[in-house]
Amino acid sequence: MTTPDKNEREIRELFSAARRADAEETPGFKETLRAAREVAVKSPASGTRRGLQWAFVGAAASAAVAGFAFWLVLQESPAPLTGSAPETNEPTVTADSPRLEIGVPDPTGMPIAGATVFLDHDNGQTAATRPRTGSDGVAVFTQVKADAGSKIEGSYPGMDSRTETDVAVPPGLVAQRPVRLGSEDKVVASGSVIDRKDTDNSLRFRDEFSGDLPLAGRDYQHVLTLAPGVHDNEGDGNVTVHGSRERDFKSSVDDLSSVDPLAGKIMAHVNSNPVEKSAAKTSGAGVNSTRAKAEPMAISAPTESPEARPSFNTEGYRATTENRFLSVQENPLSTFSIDVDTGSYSNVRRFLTSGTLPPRDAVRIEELLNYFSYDDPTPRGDAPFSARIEIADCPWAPDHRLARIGLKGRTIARGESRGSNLVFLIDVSGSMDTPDKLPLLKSALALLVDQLQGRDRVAMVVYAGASGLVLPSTAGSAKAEIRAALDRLRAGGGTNGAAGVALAYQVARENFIPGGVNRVILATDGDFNLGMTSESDLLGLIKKDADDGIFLTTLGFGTGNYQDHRLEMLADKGNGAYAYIDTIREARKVLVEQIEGTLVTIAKDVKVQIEFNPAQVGAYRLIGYENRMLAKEDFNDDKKDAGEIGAGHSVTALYELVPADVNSAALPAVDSLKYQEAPAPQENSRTSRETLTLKLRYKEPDGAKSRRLSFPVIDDERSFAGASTDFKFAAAVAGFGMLLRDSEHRGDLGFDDVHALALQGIGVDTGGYRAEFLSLVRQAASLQRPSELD
Amino acid sequence: MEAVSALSRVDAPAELAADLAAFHHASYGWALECCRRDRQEAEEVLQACYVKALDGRARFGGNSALRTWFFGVIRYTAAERRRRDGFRRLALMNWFAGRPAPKPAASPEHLSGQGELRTRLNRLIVGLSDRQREVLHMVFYQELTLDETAQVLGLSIGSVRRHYERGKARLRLALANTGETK
Repeated sequence: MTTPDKNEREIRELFSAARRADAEETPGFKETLRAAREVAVKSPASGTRRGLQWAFVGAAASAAVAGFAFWLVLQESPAPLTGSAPETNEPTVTADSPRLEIGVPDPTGMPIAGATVFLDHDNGQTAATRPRTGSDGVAVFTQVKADAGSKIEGSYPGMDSRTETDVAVPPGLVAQRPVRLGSEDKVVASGSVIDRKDTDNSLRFRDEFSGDLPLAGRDYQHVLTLAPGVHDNEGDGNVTVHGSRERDFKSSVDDLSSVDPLAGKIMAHVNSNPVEKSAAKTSGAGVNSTRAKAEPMAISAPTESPEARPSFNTEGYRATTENRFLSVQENPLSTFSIDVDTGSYSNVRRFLTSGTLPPRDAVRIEELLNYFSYDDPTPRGDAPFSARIEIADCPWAPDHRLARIGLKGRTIARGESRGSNLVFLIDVSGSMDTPDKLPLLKSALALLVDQLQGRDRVAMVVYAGASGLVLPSTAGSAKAEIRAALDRLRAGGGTNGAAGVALAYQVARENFIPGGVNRVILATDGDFNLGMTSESDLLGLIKKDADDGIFLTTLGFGTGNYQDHRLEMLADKGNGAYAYIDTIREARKVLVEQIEGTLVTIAKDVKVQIEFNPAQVGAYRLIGYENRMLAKEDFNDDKKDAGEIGAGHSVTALYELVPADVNSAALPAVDSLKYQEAPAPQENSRTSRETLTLKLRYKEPDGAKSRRLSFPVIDDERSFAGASTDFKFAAAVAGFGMLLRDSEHRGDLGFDDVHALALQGIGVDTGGYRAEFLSLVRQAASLQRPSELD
Repeated sequence: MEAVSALSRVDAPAELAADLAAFHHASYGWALECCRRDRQEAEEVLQACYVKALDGRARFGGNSALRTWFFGVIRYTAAERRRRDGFRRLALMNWFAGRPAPKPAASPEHLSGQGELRTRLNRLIVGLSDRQREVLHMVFYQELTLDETAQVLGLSIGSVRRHYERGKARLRLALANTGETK
């Protein structure tokens, strides 16, 4: 090991001086112990907490019985509402209405972003507004009626809603009140013992119910029939659901479906392996039926051996293999196409909030990264986008560096555009007949219609067994007409997607606006058969129209038979973006907040190429973008298609770099060549301090020839702590993706670490999306638990 | 009621208390490090750890030295607290308008030579990663071996060695940059 030199002695001296200085200031042991005892008396469970001085007001006893607690804090409103306050101890009574702030924490006390709050007054009237909580977990009612017996209800998908009655809303004051949501009803069983500690809301379960819980040795059909209304008469795993026709539904236990993935038929026998450990909860539906909807338990039964749980799921995901570390000496260039899709993130969120970890291949890290907007500088001058690179320590591999590339698209004011020619292509087949599909789709598109202007035009094409034009191209100002057409949509029949696509493009061509936005918006669960057309014919049609300036946006809906990779591929070929809409909140993000980015393309075929300096970087790995990789020759080839960037869009890519002086186990050694010399770095690589050069190529939306930009980058030796909040947050998101994908590069990273990283990177968080990410991380961490039971 | 029963047990293991008292200074130093030198937080974490140890919620298995075990408890408690409180403080504090989030206690100006050296050290280690700081603290401040350090931090000996070497290299660099100017 190293010999102690002068520096090391100095280090030792510094540390021992610090130790002596600390020792002088250490509070005495006895004193500390006494303080510890006082703390234990005050708050036995949670240890110490300071700063929050909440007044604890009445009614707590009855509330505690129901398993939650609340506080009511009254304070005078920060700015007096009107007039001068009379000098009495009475609360100020003015004509102005009070403000009510409702904080919604989860069972662990963490604020929830995006929860809905309802308010009913004592006269039975419901408040018109239904605010959602922001990133601080607080929803605000302004202008509410003062009364003494209001009812408030907080709800969030995947959690038990809570209602509070007899809430006093005093006049002229700000009333603040947290409504703590309950966790889902959850029973965790392991071996022959029900874990009462991990089992939530046990009051809801009768003893007989507990006795029937899935225990070791039970099998698929036994587990399935625990759900109310579900019977397995033949005992072969093919159950019947009360009120539905036979074979109208699929059943699934822990991703194990009763449908043969190859033949599409219901199988005679399903998994005969006994369920070893299981966790059951009463919320969520494990059986999907087009006719009747049973509300059985979703049951997850983690089993040890991988072959015991083949992935018989009718949702379609294309397998991706993670990018490996590449040596800079052999692969000095890394080339990829940008991607602004976000669908994977909302799909992952749908899995997590419904209580399961997403399948590995549903997680595309680049889509998780690009879901969030980053505070990169907006472009100046003519350039359609700006680029920024930051390099700092890699949080999951302390010897490595992490480089974040951020592109930000120019924003465009709504008035600047020459109008939009939109064609809604809507799937109304039988499979769309569940609340999270057609009804959500209607409300989502209604949000988009609200923003249309007189210059814009909308047409609507539906497809089911047959396809048809339900609304000819109509001016955006005729909102009532468009909404009425939306309202009339009903689901039923088969799916002939290809015919619908052809008709939609025809309508778009007929109403083409030169220089404006021309776009087909396909809304579907993606589960369509292609009629007489092959998939390649369909893609050819979409590609050709994209070249003519008609772009495609795909919006995915629903669960159960969702075809993720197909929608992504269609959007990719159609020069458009793909988004997954799981909630109305997501619809608002895609179709209202980011409408310009969704509709207006500012540059197309955007390619990124990075040349690494071998004197600085030994090896690198691009995180995500697996299905966007390009060959190095493709960069300068204008015929090669690549991704589009919309107005105001952010694109983020992360590289994990192994510095040249680090011997990393990440890169296996290769024998030196026998017949030729290895390429030697040029002289200037050593003298240059540059770490890498970033090169970009893009075309104008209607251009055919690409332009090239190039930026050299120097690593300024930043520590992780010194990095920007966006860098920290992006690192957290990538880490989250790596954990969900169970990446081999994750190191000893855990969900806890991801949470801590994201917390450091939360920044301003407009819209509360980063706070929502934090709650997803916590959700994912809690879902790990059953498989860790022993 | 729970608190009372927990308290009555606090007095029982007098022997354990005496053992903990023996390295109280070192524990406080480590708690400070785990709480990013926020003294109030460090005191509270240490209090919570003593309660855990004495009422038996954290149990010493006897597999390691009492000190390495207790250092592990401190590290875990501080991390847990940071995770729980960080967000709550950040988000809920904004809720109560006019009540600003608490600032970390600034370290007081000590004019003694030791205090000055400590301030200098704290400035020098700003650029190190958390892990590197923790490992250097264990080795130089607590004078533990790399093996013991690995036990406290729950890392493999290989990673500890790597953090140790790289942390030291960075600290040397920082020393070289500021060494003469002081």
